[in-house]
Amino acid sequence: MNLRELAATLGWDVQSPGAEPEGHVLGGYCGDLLSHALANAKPGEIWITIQHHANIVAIAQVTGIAGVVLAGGARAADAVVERAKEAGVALYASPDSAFVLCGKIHRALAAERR
Amino acid sequence: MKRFAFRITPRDVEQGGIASAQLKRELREGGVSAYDARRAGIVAFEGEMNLIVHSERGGTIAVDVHPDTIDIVVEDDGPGIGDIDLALTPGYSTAPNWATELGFGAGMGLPNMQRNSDHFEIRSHIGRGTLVRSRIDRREGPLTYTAAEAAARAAAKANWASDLGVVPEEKAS
Repeated sequence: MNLRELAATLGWDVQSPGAEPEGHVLGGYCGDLLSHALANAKPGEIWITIQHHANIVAIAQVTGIAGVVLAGGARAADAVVERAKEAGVALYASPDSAFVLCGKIHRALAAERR
Repeated sequence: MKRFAFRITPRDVEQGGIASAQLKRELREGGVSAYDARRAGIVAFEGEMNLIVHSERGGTIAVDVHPDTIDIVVEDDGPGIGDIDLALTPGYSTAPNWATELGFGAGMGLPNMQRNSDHFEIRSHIGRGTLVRSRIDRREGPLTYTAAEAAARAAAKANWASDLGVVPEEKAS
């Protein structure tokens, strides 16, 4: 399942259209401490966080993750969205809490692997 | 050899990560493997954020790309680190509240830099500044993971459902 399919399945709001990678989503990382995300989020994974400032775009670029989904109704400001589009970083927003998002993403990815 | 140099402004948190993201992109375009470029990007990002959060007057990041190594030097002229061993302890942080509220200050910056370096050194004097030197030994080919990481990842993928507590449908009763 690629990121576009996952986002459509779970009803996420696409904040940076056109920046979605085609590759399969390999897993996820959840957390709001940036250095932990930098250390632990792997290429191809989706990062679930409530941080929505500009630095998350740089972290996505440096780690090579598939994209970022903002949890709990957080939304990135226009300037952050513009930076994500320029950088080719897929950015989504969801009203679900980080806990619920993790559960839904895990279920969707696990179902695909059966 | 190719050299990149960045000047980082203190407290300009909005710009944080722009230099390291640019560095990673240029390294990839210059033929550096994804694995090495990611490590260099992480070292540069943490160095960049340290300059933004902690330095008094900003500082510089200089990156030299050699055939066998990537050398990264992050330098400022103050305030300096009093206890380097303590600063390298995972979880220890002196970041101010405004930084921790944004998700910085996890106490993982210097440890992340060290972990992603093959050779790592900090020199610092209170009142004179800090110099962090990182050397990354380049790995051949377009590797994303080391062999050990790739094996661990393949095993985790094979056991995906059971590892994460999801019972596959055919086994559910």
